[in-house]
Amino acid sequence: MIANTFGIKGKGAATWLAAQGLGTPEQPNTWTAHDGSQVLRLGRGEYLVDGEAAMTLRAAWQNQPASDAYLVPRYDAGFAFDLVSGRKVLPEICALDTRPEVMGNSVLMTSAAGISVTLVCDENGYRLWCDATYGDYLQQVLQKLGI
Amino acid sequence: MSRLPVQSGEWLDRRRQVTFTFEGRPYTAFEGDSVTSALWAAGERILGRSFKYHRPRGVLSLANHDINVMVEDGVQINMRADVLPVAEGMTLKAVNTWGGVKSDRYALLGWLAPLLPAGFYYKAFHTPRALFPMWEGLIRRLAGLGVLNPKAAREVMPKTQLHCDVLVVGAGPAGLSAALTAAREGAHVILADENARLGGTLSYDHGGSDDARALLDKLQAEVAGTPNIEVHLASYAAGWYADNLVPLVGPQGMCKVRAGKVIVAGGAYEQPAVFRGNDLPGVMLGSAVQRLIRRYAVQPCRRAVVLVAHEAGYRVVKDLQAGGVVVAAIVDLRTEAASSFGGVPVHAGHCIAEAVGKNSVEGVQICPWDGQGNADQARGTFIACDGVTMSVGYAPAAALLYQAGTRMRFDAAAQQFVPETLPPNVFAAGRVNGVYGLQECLADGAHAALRALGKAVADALIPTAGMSHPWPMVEHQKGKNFVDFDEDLQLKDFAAAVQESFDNIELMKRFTTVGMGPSQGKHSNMNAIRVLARLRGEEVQKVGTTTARPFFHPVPLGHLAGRTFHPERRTPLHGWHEAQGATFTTVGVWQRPAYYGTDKAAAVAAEAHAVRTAAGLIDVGTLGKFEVRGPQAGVFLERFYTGHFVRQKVGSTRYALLLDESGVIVDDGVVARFAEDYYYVTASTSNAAAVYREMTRRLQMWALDATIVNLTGSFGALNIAGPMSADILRGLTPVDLAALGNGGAIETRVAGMAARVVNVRFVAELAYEIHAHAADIATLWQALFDAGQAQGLRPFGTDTQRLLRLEMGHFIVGHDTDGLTTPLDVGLNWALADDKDFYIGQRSLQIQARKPLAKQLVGFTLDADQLPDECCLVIRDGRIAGRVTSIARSPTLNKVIGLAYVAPQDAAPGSRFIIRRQDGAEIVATVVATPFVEGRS
Repeated sequence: MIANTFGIKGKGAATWLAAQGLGTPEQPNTWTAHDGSQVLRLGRGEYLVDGEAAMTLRAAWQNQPASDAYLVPRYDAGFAFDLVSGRKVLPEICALDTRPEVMGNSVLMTSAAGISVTLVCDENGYRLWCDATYGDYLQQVLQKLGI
Repeated sequence: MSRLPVQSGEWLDRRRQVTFTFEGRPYTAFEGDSVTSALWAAGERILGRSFKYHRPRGVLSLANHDINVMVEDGVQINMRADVLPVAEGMTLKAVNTWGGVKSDRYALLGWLAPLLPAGFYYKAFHTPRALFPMWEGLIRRLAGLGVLNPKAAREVMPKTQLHCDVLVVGAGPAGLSAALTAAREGAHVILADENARLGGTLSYDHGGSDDARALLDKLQAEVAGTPNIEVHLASYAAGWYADNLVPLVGPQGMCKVRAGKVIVAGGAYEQPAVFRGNDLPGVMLGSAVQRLIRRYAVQPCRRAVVLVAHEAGYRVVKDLQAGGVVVAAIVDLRTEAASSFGGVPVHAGHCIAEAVGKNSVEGVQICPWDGQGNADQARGTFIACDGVTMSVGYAPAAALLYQAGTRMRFDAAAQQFVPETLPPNVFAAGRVNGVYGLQECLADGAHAALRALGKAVADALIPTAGMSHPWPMVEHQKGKNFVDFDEDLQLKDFAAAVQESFDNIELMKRFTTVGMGPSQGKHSNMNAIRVLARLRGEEVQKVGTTTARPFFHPVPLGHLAGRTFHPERRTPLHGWHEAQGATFTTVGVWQRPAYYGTDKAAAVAAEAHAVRTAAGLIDVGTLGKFEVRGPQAGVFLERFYTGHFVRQKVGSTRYALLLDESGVIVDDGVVARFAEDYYYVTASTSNAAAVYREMTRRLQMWALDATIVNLTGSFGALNIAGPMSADILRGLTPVDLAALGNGGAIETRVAGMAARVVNVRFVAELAYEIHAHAADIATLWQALFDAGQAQGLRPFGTDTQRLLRLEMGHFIVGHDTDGLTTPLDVGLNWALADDKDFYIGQRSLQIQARKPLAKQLVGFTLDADQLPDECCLVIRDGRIAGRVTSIARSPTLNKVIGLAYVAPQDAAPGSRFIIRRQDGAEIVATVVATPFVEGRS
């Protein structure tokens, strides 16, 4: 459940990620895939990376941190579920329009089941993150709703 | 039994029989039957009782508005039998009867009707006052609608959020046409209807032919083959809210639909005629008998008299005949009509003056009339029948349109309110527009959809003239000609209201209670408006309508509650606490150990003893934790909190006090400075989210070059406290703890993990907070726990923490402060850096500082060994001077200590003040300086 995530924010965040070989989404609140990892742009200058790239980035930061960006230590719980389950369950816990055809490559930072979550989707399904301290709670909610 | 042969398109599944009981008697029905249709098919006529006079009632609309036929099953109450599907094993009874629906003893009230006119309760029961409780109890018993079962298990009803381009409310001809047109244009459409199946009038108004049925089959097939139409049946649109939010309420819960456009195609409610005995079982709306025949294959009666005032009423005649009913006569309120129709004599220019019968209709007295309510009873004719149908007019189902802000006008030709100006993104189609012809409804629906999608279409259709009679009401000297079936309001009640000067539609509603019953006037408001217009000698348009508020239809509380979510947060050490037998408590959203073990008193005493004599370890990972970074990070904190931070030494901590704009204490915490442009801030557990929200808001507002990183969840934290804490920690970290000193802060390693160590004395004179990444905190905790075993270290919980901090004399924001407490009240003047230009709340506080203090927080001890409750009052000269905010028996001091607000003149150490215990007794307390336990650890 604990996701392998890396966070960075600040004016130089995109430049530093680019220097590590990661392309970043052009628009805020969108995401892009990178070698099996996901790169989410959470705002004007904040990024979340999930996947194997996160570990590489953590090591890179230790060796050469950016001077104009800040590390965002993360401790996320991550959940993945298919589109059918998502279409069934998400409308029950989230007020936003989470239909894949509407979301596209958007990053939704919203409230679901009463807590803050980050949500993306692609043709394979949904990926959802929340603060890991809420992880057990959200897992129980999702299980109760049939995921 | 009056079950008909299979009807084309009937809603029954005749392969499945269902058995249920009503009022203790068993009945057999088909799946698809409603309770009413099943009982009517079985020959039952008295299905319910009216609210006020307990008169027998049967079918009126069969359209979810038959509120005199409500049933309960011991769990659910007020279920409307006209639409409640039968289910195997149901055990039902009618609500609000005494002795059963057939022999309801409350019916005696009918004899007292002359003494109980509308508004009688405004004039009665006031004197003698002593009898009021008796009357109140009696009326409550008589007027109830079902009996709540407090032991019924909660039914969890989900609430879902749906989104669409176009929401179409109503799946009749206009709604179906609108939905299909919008879908063909590529829109994602939600089509909702309160009926169990699609079709609206197409499913019952057949006029003796199968044309409507064939059209419905075609439209249904097209809807089924259109993937971008999402159908919600048995779901009513409960209201319209801003931004086109429309909750759809169905048997499985509530869907909150947010629609780009809303098309209201909810049709019109058929309106009853008003004549003496119009409430007898067997007197039904024309559309109700069509529903009985076409949907449920139930013959409504054997011999009918049909009352009409428009051409569509003649379609009812055809449907009755197709259902094998002998139509004895057609009574046409209009003066011009053919002399016969379908072999049935037509009595043009006649009315029904009275329906007669004991428990159901046995015949009618028809008379010539003047079209204005006056029947020539001397020329009356009696016609025997066991059924009467009424087809005299309609009222638009326009509640959603009203709620959305539509301006309506009364169309004199159609005798109906129709939309005049629609609000943006809201559209209307079909009967609600006054359009009644089938082809016209289909066209109107398509036009509404195209308009909604921004396409050019022809002008709106003209409302159909002559579909509603302007005065479908007949006076009768003996009354019982009901305008409102919900509240048993008779025609004469309205005249009485006007005579009492309640001659405005809103006042009349409240005096008579018209439209205030469960059906909310769906079958009475239009006639009531006509009555008031006539009594005032004004046009209907001038009288206007009452306000249509959500909900359109009663919504069960369980649907409103929904599933309900109770977020719960656990620290990374939760598993460890569980394994150690912690008893948890909820602090905000967090689960925290209150103490370890099951004996609270013993556990707290042992844990406190460990902290005072050796060491204790507490999980404080729930604290708000924020990094504030950037060149102007110090400037930001200086504005945000009351203290100085720009000049704060790197490697030190400072107390952080947050106020709101009015100078009231909001939160407190600690600011550690790790570099010139790098601060680490903590906030209290309960306020962490609010503090972060306010930080980000202020940062944006002030546009400073700083960044806030929220580490509340991603960092864990612990506090090791007590005289041995430094010794235990020393073995696990390279930090020179002696050099760290009081209030020092450093980034270092503890037990091999990157950590931040801060010297914070909240629960003990010697204590360290250690913060580390959440993934590392368990390792760090275990290392400290293991290292401290030899010194007697114990974990402690929040109950012990509260005691220890009280011994230290520290207050807790939100516990010892309230929504009016300023720093001046709690002696925090030292924390206010008033040499600064600005901090939040500074200006308000400066104003307050010029006024005398009203109260002051002090520490106290009690002379007697008693433990009054927190919140017990502090009394001075017989008046309330303050209250106890914290109190506990200190095992360290072996006495009761506490914090309390007292009058400022009683605040000096040694002063005595009075505490009024919860039992009213008064005890004396003595003010003492804090901390209570200085130098003990």
